[in-house]
Order: sequence, then structure tokens, then C-alpha cells
Amino acid sequence: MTYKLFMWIIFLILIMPCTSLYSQQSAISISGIISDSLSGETLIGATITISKANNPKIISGTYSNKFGFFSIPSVKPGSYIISCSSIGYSTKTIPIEIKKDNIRIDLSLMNRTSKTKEITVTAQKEQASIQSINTIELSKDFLKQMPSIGGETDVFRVLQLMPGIKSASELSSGLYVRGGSPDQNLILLDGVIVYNPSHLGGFLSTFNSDALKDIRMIKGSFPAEYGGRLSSVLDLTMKEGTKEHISGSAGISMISSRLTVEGPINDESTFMISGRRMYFDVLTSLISKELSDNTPQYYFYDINAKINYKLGMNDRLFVSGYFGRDVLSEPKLASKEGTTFGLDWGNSTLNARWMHIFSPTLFTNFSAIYTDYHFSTLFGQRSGTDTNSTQFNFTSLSKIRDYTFRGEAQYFAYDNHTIKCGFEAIHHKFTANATDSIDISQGDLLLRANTQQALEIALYAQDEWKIQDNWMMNAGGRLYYFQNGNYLQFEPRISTQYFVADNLHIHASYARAHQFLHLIVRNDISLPTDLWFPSTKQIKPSMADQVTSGIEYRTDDKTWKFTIDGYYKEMSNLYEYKDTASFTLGLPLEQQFTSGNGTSYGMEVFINKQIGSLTGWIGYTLSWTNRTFAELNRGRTFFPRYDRRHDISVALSWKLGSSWQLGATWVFGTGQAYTMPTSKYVIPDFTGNNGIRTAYDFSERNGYRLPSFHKLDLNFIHLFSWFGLPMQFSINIYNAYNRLNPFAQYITDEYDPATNTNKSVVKQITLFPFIPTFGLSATF
Amino acid sequence: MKFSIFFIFVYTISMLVLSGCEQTVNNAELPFEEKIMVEGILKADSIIEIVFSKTVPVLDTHNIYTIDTVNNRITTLQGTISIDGISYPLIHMNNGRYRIFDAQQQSIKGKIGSMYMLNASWNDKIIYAQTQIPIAHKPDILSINIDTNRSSVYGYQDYIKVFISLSYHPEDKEAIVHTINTISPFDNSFYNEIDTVNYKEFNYPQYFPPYYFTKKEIPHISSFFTWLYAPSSKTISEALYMYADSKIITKHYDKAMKEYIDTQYFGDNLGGIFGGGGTGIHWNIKGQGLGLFIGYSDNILPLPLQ
Repeated sequence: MTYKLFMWIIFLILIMPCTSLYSQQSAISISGIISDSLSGETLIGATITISKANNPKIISGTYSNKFGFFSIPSVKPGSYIISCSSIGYSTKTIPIEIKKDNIRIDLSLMNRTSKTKEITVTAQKEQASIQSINTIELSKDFLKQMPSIGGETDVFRVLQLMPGIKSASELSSGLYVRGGSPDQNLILLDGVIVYNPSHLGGFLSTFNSDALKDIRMIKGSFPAEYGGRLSSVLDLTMKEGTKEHISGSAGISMISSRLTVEGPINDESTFMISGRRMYFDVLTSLISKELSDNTPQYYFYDINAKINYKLGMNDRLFVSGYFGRDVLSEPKLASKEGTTFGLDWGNSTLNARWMHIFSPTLFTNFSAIYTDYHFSTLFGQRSGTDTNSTQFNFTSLSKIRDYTFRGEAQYFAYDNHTIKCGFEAIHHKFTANATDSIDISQGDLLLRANTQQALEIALYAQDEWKIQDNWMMNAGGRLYYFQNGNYLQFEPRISTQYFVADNLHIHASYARAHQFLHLIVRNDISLPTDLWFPSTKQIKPSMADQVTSGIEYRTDDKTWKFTIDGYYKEMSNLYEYKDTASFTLGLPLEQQFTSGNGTSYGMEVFINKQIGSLTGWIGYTLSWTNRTFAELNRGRTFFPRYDRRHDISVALSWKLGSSWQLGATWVFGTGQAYTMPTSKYVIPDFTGNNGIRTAYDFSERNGYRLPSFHKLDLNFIHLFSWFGLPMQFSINIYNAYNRLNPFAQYITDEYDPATNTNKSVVKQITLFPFIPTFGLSATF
Repeated sequence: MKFSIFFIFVYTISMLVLSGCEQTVNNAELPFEEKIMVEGILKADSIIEIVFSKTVPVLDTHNIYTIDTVNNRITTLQGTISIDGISYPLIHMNNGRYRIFDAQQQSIKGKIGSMYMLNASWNDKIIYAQTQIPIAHKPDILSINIDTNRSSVYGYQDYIKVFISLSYHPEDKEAIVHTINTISPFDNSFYNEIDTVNYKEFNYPQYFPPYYFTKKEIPHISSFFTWLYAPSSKTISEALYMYADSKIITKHYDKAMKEYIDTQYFGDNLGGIFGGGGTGIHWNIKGQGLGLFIGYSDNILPLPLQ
């Protein structure tokens, strides 16, 4: 009780600036909304500065928030020049006269043509911003130039090229950020949590880049406005729809086809709808009915939609939704004997958001959100005599239904303080079940799913404080309450940035984070068995403490950027299934979990060329990640599969004239940690039931390393016009020098004709050899 | 035609995208950690005999029966077995089999309640283990119910069900592995295996073949049913007479046996790219060894089916 009271007191102290500073503020403010002059889309992260009319020295500056809103408070009366700039847009400069009233000025920036030579990964900001620490901002132009498999560019696969962010395998688009697993990433689409951001078993993410406006990733030590995950935040914002006229784009690739349509509904509202569907099932049915009937059926689709209403100068209403689904099922003419299977997963989200500007210095937004996620897996073995009977079933079911209400206020107190505070209340309903069952014709033994409900409440407050012109700090805290288990946790967050010189700064941060939802996977089979499970009295919330520090240098002409970052993260209460987990006894699922700790640390080097016809970067990461579970690996520390000692990525984009572009990536990574046997032996028949058989001894969990992984991908883009429509044709070459990268290795017996016996051999699976693919898209 | 070629091309590329390549890794360098394999079931009232062999490299080309022969047995192991604090040296007999002898040069037998400790070394490898031979509790037969309605099982006619319920009073320290032995007709004209059971009928789940548990409550009730062959050419009584010599054998192992039972398939082949995590079997041999050094006793209970 005393502890809880202490926590509430600390929190109230933190949010006091929100109220006390507001009452003291009396100077004049300049505020407004920044948008694209043609489409009307608000611009995120645009830089706004003011200087005296007769003196170019910047007096104050800020950047636009997620809704394009900015505010510069505490401006004294006088004549000023206001300047606004954003990547890909021409800088706009206009004079303003400040008298005694606040000024509202909405600025529209003109999009520069493709003649621009600036293709950057991170925003160039004339005004230093604390937001850039640990943050990656991915531009859509750069995204589209990167190589892809099947002509389908993917947000996650490009993010995996950044230092500190890794993939588990070629098959997976999951993000492993600084030693954390994919479930430790908070993935937000227009502020809505996406629980399973993958299609096709992890091959592609669920995010259609045509529907996105802003892609921002915070690799660690994220500010207090984000919470609920340990490792990172991927914050994606959907487009709102152009106000110009109905327009869109369409594309076809080797994997899927997509269509995006956007435009005005009336003078005050716009819409955007973007859909994508994989057509493997359609393709097989077009080729032949026999092929279609005997091939596993797979398809996915996703739809992003958004409507944007301008209710007034100070009010906007956004309604956005995402609907996506993957289905994999057995062939229509499946054999009456043999394996039966089915996988079905998807996300549905709906978000109604109201943005209201209370005053030139107080910006708010409120959201009501509905989220529905499900993931089900079924494998069975038919007996052959009765098609409705199976000898063995494995099922895994994970469902989450969330109702969320969120509110946020951004208060521009003084020119050196920007306060942000907010609350979030989520009602969760979890359903989880994972069973093996033995089935005879009388019926199966599937146990009822475990259903739980929980309330999660978070309050946060943070202050972006400009201590001096060259020294900034973001300090805040987040207070979390989780009803299951009655947990109340406080998470301090602090980051700071100090400019030693105009183009050289050092930064450091510390953050504590908790995670109340845990993604448990079965470690005895390598098939998708995602199971989200909430914290309970027995399952304590996971926790991470992370410190980062680094140095960044930019050349005077901003062509080059060099960054070196170091991080150290300690995690506790991580969960996996026990080695001896049993899914048939009807025991509660949480009794099948075991908990442990983890540590990760490393260094990242990033060299980025930002200007010129040739742009790109080289990233290198040296890192260690380990886990220690008392009930796994006999209590010895082990490496998770995604521990990779060295990781190098090179990404280049080259404009070859006005109609050709070349993108290239080369990646190298130390081999994946893997478990292989260290010897073989004969097991006697100890119980008198099994007979003798051979078995393998595995001495260390993930104690073996696959060979290193490296490949070169190329992407050629040709821009042309056809029937007046701008078109883009891309040829992608995946794995250009045909490196046989190991996806997995395993032992199997093979008949040796020389000795007329079976011998054990090591087999290696390579997923994707040299693969040329193409894609075609058009805008209208 | 062009349309078909286009789709064939697209399909081919799609198959390439979604398929993988498999190669044999020649000259694969797999780590090899040689260990001592122990086959040591210490049965009450039976001569204590332990078999020691060694593990072989993963890619060893010998078949299972060749591995389990003289060439792989360890004949130069040094070690002792202590019984309730008194040490006896292990003496090699033949083919990797070792015994211990008393002062009268008689092979020592297992004794219920005694504590046994193994310490041994070979080729700079040291192993050790500890076990106790548990008491074999005699279960009480609570009930035997026979459903005389003939049923069809897997397409074969003329089976009847018999439901058996037993009661145990195990001690705290023991893990009892309860193995239902084959109930077989005395003339061996039909060998009836115990089949999987219908869970809906009972409160406690059953497994085939062994059913094992640690003490949760007193008494522990074990219930199961099995099918008996009762051809229509015989009356029910005549069919039951064929099973007159049936028995239930309950095997009681040291608690560490349960860990082995739970993980006994963890050492199987990884089974391809979707195989298991390779966590290894949980043996009770410690040090640089594998296997079991486990105390065991059993109890034979006649099963009156008539």
C-alpha cells in the first residue's frame, strides 16, 4: 500500500508541470498546421523556425507533430521570418508581424520533383531535435528503391538493413531489435497495436507501403508516451487521402497485387483505401483444376482505409481501419490418410480519433479503438479408415480482443519546454489454448480454451526540455496498472542530447519498460504456434532496463552522417515453454511456462550518405545476446537463435538519369545459433516397452553456429509513361551471386549403396537461390 | 498460347520463390563430445549389473545393432557402487557388463530401501549418480467391471470392454511408474495389447503403455479399461476364461525416472527443418555421461477377470 501511494505521488509530481506552467504562460504563440500544398496531407516532423526580420540567427524552432501541428510559444512582439522545411519539399519562408495576439498560420509546402538529389533515411533537421535519438525515419522514396523479392517492397525488410535490427532468417520479416524478440516491439498503425504484423509465415509484413505516410522506428529507450513493450517502437501513420482529386496507384508483383485509391469526399473530407491480395490460389486454379485441387491453398489479403474529416479550424476527425487475414489449408483433394493441417490468422482494427486544438499552445487528441487478433493452428493425422477421425491433433489458438480509450495532450509551455501527457485504458480479452490430443473415433480430447479478461491503464508525462541552445533533454515517466495480478509499475525514461559543435553531438538515454503481454512459442517444433498470454499472479510482467549512448557527426554540407551507438539491456521475467511442457494433461497453460532473464549489449556503426545521385549507407553491428532460464539448458546461459555476433548491411540507391534507378543491398551476418547433436548412442529398453533405438545427445542449447549468411540483391527500376499514366517497372534480382545460405541443417539417414546400409548425413536447406522477379505499378 | 506461357513462367518463378534447395553437406564438421552411456536398472532381489558403453560421433556409419555391440562397450572403466555407505568396486564381467561382489564373492543383489551411489571414470571422464530402490506398493483392486456388449474396434468385431480401478498408497519420495502389463490369454492364441482409453469415462487420464504419477493425494486412484477379444463363437464366460492368468504388474521406479519418461523422445532425430529443439533427454547420470542409474521394484497382482 505504501509503495503504491509512493508511486502515485511520484507520478503526480511529474504531471504537475502540465497544470502549473499553463497558468503561468502569458507570452504570444505562433501555431499552425503544416501540410502538402497539393494533397493536403499533413506533414510529420517538418522543421519550423523563426528569426528576426533583420537577423538570420534562429531565435526559436520546433517540429510538427503527428498531426502536422506545431506551436512556438513565448514570442515577443516584433517582425519575424518564419521558415518551414521538410524532406522532399521546398522550404517556405514568409514574414510575419507579431503584435499582441496569438498567430495561427497554416503552411503548405510544395513537393519537390524527382530531380531532387536528397534521398535520406533520417530526417535532416536544421533545428536539433531530441526526437532523433535511437530513431530511424524511413522515407517512402527510399523504400521503393530497395530490392525486394517478387517486386513487393516491404517496410520490415528494409528496416532489417539498419544496424541493431536483425531478422531471424530469410523466411522471416520479424524484427529482432537490439537482442529483443519480435513480440517486444510495439507496432502501431495509426496508434493501434498490431499483434501479428506478418503475412505468409513472416515472409512479408502486413503493412502495405502504398498506404503509409510516415514510418518511424525507435530502437530503444523510447519516450514515456510509448509503453507496453520492452525493445522498440515502430510507429506507422497512414495516409489521409489527397484533397486534390481522385487518384491512386496499382501494382502487380510476383506475390501479390495491390490497389490504392484516395481523394476528396467533399471540401472538408478525404478518404484513402488501399488493398492487397496474394493470388497464389487463383494462379494455381487458372493453370489447371488438377493442380489447384492437389496444392495447399494459401492466400492473404489486407485492406487499409481511412477517412479524414475537417470539422473546423481546430477540429479534425479521423476514422481508420485495418483488416488483414492469412489462410493456409490442405489441398481440396487431400489424401484420406496422412497429415491434415490448417493455419488461419489475422488482425482487424478500427480507430476513431478526434484531434482538437484547445489553444495555440495546447493540442489534444483522443482515440477510441477496437482491435481483434486471432491466430490458430491445427495439425492432425488421419487414421485412414474414417475421414472424420484423426489419431493425433495439435491445436494452438490465440485470440485477443481489445477495447481502448486513449487521450493525449501536448502543451507547448515555454519555448524551451514541451510537455506531453496522456492516458490509455485498454480492456483486453485473451483466449489461449495449445493442446496435443489423442483422438479415437469416439471423439477428441481438445480442452476448453483458457479465457481471461484484464484491464490495463497507463498514465504518462514527459517534458522535452531545451536546457540550452545546444543541450536538450526528454525526461518523463509512465505509470502502469495491469489488473491481472494487480500490478502497478513505474517506468522512468530520460534521454539527453548535447551538441559539442553544430555538426557533432553526443547523446545518452535510460529507460525502464514493462511488458504485460507475452508471446510464447513452442520450442519443440519449428512451426507457427504464436500464443499471446497475459501476465497473471504467477506470470509476472517482463521488465527491461536499457542504457544507450552515442555520438553523431554530420559533414558541413550534410552529405555524410556518421553515428556510433552503444547499448546495454537487461531483461527479466522472459517466458518460454518448459522442455517438459505437456499439452494433454489439462493443466493450466501457465504451468507450462518457465521464466528467465536475458542480457544484450552491443555497438552499432552507421555511415550514411544523404545527398547526391548515389545515396545509401553502411551499417555494422557487433552484439551479444544471451538468455538464462533455470529450467532450460540445465540452467546454463545460452544464445537465442537470433544472436548474431557480426552484422553488416550495405544499402545503395543510384539515380541513373531521369528514368532509371538502381537499388542494391548487400548483407552479411554471423551464422544463426542452432542446436545440433554432439554424439549418438543407443538407448536400451529401460521400461521394457520401446525396444532399443538410437538417440542424439545435445550438449548445449543453440551451441552450434550455422555458416555465415551473405547475399547481394539488386533492383532496377525503369520509369516510363503508358497511355499518359506514369508507370514503374522493376526487375529484382534476389541473391545475385546465388549464395546457398543455410536456412537450417539437420541430420538424416540416407541409403549408401556402397555399403548397403543407411548412414547419417548432414543436410542443409537453402531457401532462396538466384531468383529474378519483376513488378509493375502505375499511378493515376 | 502466349497467355499460357506467361502463366507457366509466373508459376515457375512462384515455385522458386516458395520452394527451397536441399544439399548434403560434405565433410561436415560436427562437434563430438564423447560420453559414457550407463544402463543401470537396479532391481530389487536381482543381481546388480550395470552396462557401460560409449557414445559415437553423430555421423558414425555403424547401424544401431553394431553400435550396441562389443566394439562400443567400455571394458576398462574404474568405479564403485556404494550401498548405504559401503563401497564395492565395479568388476568387469564381459562385454561392458559390470557387477559388484560381497566378501563371499557373491554378486550383490538389489535391496528395497537401500541407497546406491555410483562413481566411475573412464578416459578422463567422470560420472556419478544416486538412487534408491523404492518399495513396491501393492495396489488394491477397487473394482472390475465388464461390459458384455460386444463392440467393434478398428474394424475388428467381437471385443468387450473391461474397466479396472486400482488404488495406491505411495510414499512421498517415490515416483511410481505404473505399467499395465499385457493381459494375454493363456494359450497365446491372441495377444491383446492395451489400447488407448476413453477419457470421458474416468476422472484421471490414462496413457499407453505406461501410466505414471507422483503422489498428489492419498490414495491415488488409477483407472483404465482395455479390450478383450470375445469372439461370438464363445460365450462371455468362455472368453474371460481365456484371460484367467492375467496379471497387473506395477513397476516402481526412483523419482528420477519420471524426468526420463517425460523427455525420452527428446533425443530423437531433429526431423528436418521443422524438427524439435534438440533439448536432449533428462538423464539422472551426472557428469560426462548419459543414461540411468535407477532403483526399481515391482509387484505382480493377479487380475481376476471371472
